[in-house]
Amino acid sequence: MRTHRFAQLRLLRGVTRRSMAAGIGLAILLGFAAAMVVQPVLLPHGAATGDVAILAGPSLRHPFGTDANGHDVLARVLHGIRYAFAVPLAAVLLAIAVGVPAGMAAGLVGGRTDRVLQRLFQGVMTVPPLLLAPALVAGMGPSVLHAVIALAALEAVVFARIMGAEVHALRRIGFVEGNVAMGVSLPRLVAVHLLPNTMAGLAGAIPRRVAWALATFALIGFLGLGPAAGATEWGTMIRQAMEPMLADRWWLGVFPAAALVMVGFALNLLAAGLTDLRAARVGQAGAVLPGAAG
Amino acid sequence: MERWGRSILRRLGLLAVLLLVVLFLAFLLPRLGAAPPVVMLGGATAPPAAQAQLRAEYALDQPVPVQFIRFVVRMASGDWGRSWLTGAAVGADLLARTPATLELMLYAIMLGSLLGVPLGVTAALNHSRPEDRTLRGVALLFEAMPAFVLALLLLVLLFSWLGVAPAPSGRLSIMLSPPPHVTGSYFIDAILMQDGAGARSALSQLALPVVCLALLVAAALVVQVRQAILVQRDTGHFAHARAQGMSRDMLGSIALRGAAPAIATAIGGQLVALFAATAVVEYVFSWGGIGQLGLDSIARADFAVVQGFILYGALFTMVVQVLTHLATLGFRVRVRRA
Amino acid sequence: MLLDVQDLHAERATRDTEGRERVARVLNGASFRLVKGRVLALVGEQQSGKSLTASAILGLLQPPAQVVRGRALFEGQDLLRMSDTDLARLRGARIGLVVQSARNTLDPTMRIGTQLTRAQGVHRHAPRAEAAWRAETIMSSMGIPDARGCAQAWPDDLSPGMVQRVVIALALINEPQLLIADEPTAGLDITTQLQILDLLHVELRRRRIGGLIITRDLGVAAQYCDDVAVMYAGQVVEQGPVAQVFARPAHPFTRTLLAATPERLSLGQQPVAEGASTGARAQGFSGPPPDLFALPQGCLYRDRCHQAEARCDTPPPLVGSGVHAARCHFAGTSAPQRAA
Repeated sequence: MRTHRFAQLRLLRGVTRRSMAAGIGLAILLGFAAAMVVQPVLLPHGAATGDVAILAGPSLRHPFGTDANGHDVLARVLHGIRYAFAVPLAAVLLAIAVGVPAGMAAGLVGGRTDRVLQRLFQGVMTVPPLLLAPALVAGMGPSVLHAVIALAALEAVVFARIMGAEVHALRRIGFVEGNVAMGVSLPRLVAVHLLPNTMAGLAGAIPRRVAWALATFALIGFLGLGPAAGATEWGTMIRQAMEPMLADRWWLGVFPAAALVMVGFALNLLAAGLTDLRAARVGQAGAVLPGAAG
Repeated sequence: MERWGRSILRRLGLLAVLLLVVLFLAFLLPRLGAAPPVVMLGGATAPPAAQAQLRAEYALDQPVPVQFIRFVVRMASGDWGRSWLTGAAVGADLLARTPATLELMLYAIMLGSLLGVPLGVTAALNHSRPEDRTLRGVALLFEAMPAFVLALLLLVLLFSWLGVAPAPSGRLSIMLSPPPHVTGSYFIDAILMQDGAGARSALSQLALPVVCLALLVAAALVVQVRQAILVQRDTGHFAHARAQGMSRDMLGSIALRGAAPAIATAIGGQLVALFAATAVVEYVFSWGGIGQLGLDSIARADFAVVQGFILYGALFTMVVQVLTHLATLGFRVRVRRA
Repeated sequence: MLLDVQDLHAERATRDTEGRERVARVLNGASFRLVKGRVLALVGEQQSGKSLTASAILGLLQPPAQVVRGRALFEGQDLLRMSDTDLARLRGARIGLVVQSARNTLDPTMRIGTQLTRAQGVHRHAPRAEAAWRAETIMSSMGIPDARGCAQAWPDDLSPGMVQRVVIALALINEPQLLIADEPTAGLDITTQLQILDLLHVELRRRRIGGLIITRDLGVAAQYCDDVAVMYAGQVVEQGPVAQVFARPAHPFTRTLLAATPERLSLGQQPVAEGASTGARAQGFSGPPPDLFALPQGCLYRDRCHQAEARCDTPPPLVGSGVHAARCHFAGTSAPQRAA
């Protein structure tokens, strides 16, 4: 456990040195991860405390207050971190597993199949995805699993498009044809040549995609289409909290909302930091006169 | 001229294909397994007679391709089905609610652009300085906020705590009745009818949802506009303009002119994204527009409405994308190869 | 003294792939003088700091590059201490700048005539008719055949040669006292190059203003300029009247430069080539270009210099007679004869 923690710290320091924004984002995410691990030990959720204080505001004993069942809101929010991490990550991983091969295949095959697939993807993306995801979940039946599937499906389209674009770019410079002419077999082409060259584009997109999945999953929960009503998923918690929140019991909704925003913000920082890093590697500013790089 | 005609035809063909894909998606939704399609479309409490009628209308006992063709034909002919919750015709309902949603979106995009574009320019001109970093940080923060979160937070702050905003009870205070319909916008109609109380109430009900959406739009625009202006700064003619001794203001307007197509595209993109965000905000504020209808129907599995809503959203996206494209074409003709 | 650049130092900070900050010393004590009525050529290899010097003087360096020391006196004022607003008043008005004519130098959204009137409007209030007339006049004097037609044209419609003439017109339209031309013939075909150079030559003479021509081409320096300053690793290593410098180069680098381009010179003088005493061919450049992140102590050229000795550890003094000087310990002594 110890070495594991240290390795994370070293990664953190390395990243921060190159981009303060990415470092802060990563630190926040690691903080949440640590909280998720620690919560069952320090603040077991669901255990009714001895003196059941219902709907109590924030206090020293219950920094986030308690809810209608007397449960500590802080414990519930921390418990909900697992939803915030697991679902978007699962959706994105699933999406990559499905979308990347699909996009690459489409790009490689080219021609009509590729165009048809592109139109298909484009059509799907014409529907506002933030609305399509809950609609899909409602169609499949409200549950966390269906939410993961719906999110993964939409994200897969995005990844397929990214992959397709990257493969197209490589094709345009003759990279693919060149290798094929040299007799490189398909699996080798994919594994050794295509994947490494497209990795950067993909990796850069991941934090943004995870953030999107998180926000959309929260909406799904907010509409009541996620886990069951009492779950600690933040969107669902906010849904329960909406009415009492506006009637002065603000802590019921503000804290899960703040947690949601923090994780999303951290992911955005990470994404922004990564793009800055890539830009810095590619070129630097200097003198203004054209051709006067030195 | 003929080249224009052909490219327009090609564009229309593309739109038709996209529409077909969307229709297929909408067609799939009630058939994804939560319940039998007849229940998804007609409600669980429908009597057997009504169910039988539904089966006939939607050809639910026929093979799927036939069902799809029937579906496309019905939608194309304007029959978008009926909500089992309210009994209202979907198409008519969506149309009737359009002004409410459109009003929100228009005010939001205008306010958001007025806020976001200048701030984006400021951020770009102060590149790497504290002003730039703070603006980017704040923009990232707002981008991380789902629309419903921002809406609720604003409500808690301005309605619950400070009491300056009205309750999220829709477009008008519950104690007033809507003005006679002229444009569909309560605010404008009230003004036209010289209904002072109505106008004031409509405006105050508008304030919070519009501000919420505008903040989201502005946050996204700051980042995109900043990027567009920075790109201009690296161009040769910008550097040359500096070498000619142009002042900061002149340089700013040169950069803005060069960035105009990109900014127009950004605003168009925000308008597209606004459809979903507005739906969520409508849901929170009980706005009575398309979005509330759509999200309500999704939450309660009223799938005839869901289908119409999805189609409407896709159509809106397509229209905005075409308009944005035309606008940038207009810019490009003036901006040439900038 | 029109332009007196003294000890200009500039640095550029970058991050390497490890994320560490590294500083490139791009200008290291560049100094030269420009007299009104004469044209100075600033020559050197790529990345020697020639264009950077011009940017630095005009306050056009963008971060992460910045000036860290030095003075640039123009008409008595130190350009490096002036605010950007004050500098903007000089740019395009008292100091004209001709950049390399890339396709994207001219504003693509404006007609040529409008750009010329705009350039005037930046610095003075000229009534539209007068400004238009001036624009047309200067275009004609630039050798643009149909000045009126050209005024209506868009930058996209012009050939590279025409574009360069327009850029020169823009630089001269406000009657500057100093014209800086950065590689004015890059990207042009030979015939056009000669035309442009002739044009510059004539205009500079006619207006009796000072000119600074930045070029990699020694032939340009020889044919069109009065003085030359040779740059290496961000430093001026030799300066003087061009005939003298090319005939009797005092700095080893100048000698190497000259030896590498014997055909371009039309002075009729054979340059002193390294190793020529043994009859062997000129040595040419030996060694890699200077690493601006890790410059040697003392003389910056010593890693590539045949004559380098122990005393090259210390920065060489400026040795020379008044107008012709070089930064070398051995300047003033003849090149040592090398034993076979």
